[in-house]
Amino acid sequence: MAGAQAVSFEARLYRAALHLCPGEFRRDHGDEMACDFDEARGEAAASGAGGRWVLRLLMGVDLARTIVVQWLRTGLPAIGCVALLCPLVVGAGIASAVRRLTFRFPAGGVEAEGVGLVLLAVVALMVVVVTIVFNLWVHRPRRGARR
Amino acid sequence: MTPAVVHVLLALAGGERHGYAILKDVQLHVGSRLRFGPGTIYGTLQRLMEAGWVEEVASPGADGDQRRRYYRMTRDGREALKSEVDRLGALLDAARAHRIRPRASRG
Repeated sequence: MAGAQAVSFEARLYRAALHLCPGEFRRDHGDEMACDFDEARGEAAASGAGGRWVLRLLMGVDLARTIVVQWLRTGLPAIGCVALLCPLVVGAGIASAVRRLTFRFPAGGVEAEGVGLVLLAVVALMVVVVTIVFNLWVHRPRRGARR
Repeated sequence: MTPAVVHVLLALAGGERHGYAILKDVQLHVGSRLRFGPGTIYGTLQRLMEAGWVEEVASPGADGDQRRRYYRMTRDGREALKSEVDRLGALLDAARAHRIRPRASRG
């Protein structure tokens, strides 16, 4: 890249911070944002130290807001909350039910193996279902999506 | 319609532009009242492209900046902007009727 050595610390910091954005947004607009930052920095340099600090503040706030907004738009935080809350709620419900029931886990033998296999199958099934739902959500078609 | 959407569409009403030109145009019109940065502009452009109000166009030949991508407003976008401007005009009329905003002098 031509002039890479001339890239300042703050430009490199801005480019590094762009990696905190979701991958799709970064691939689509990351280069343009870095290019805009360079141009804005060049213009602010002419207005003295005050202008540079205003630019740093503006760009910092804008990037922080963008990171939050773009991650929220991916829906991943919502999925994460659901993924955390669901097992907690289900686990609490099962624990509450087990406490009331007189079910006793078999101490050993064929019955214990059977119950263990059923539990293992349930967990595996849940992992498969969650993976499918997660992939469908992440790769859902979007209007106007590029590339 | 958020202020960012209105300002980006207004910037594109003058023809196709790249992101930084949109940013400069928005800053020129809003001054220091609203602070937009690249993230706000490109986030808004992405939403507008998903809505079908803005589309990416090829770089306009040798005159254009080859490092940049250019955007233009679609017909749907122009209709949406017109509706919003009409709504804001009606709002301004109502404000003037209540003497919140003085009438613009004519002539």
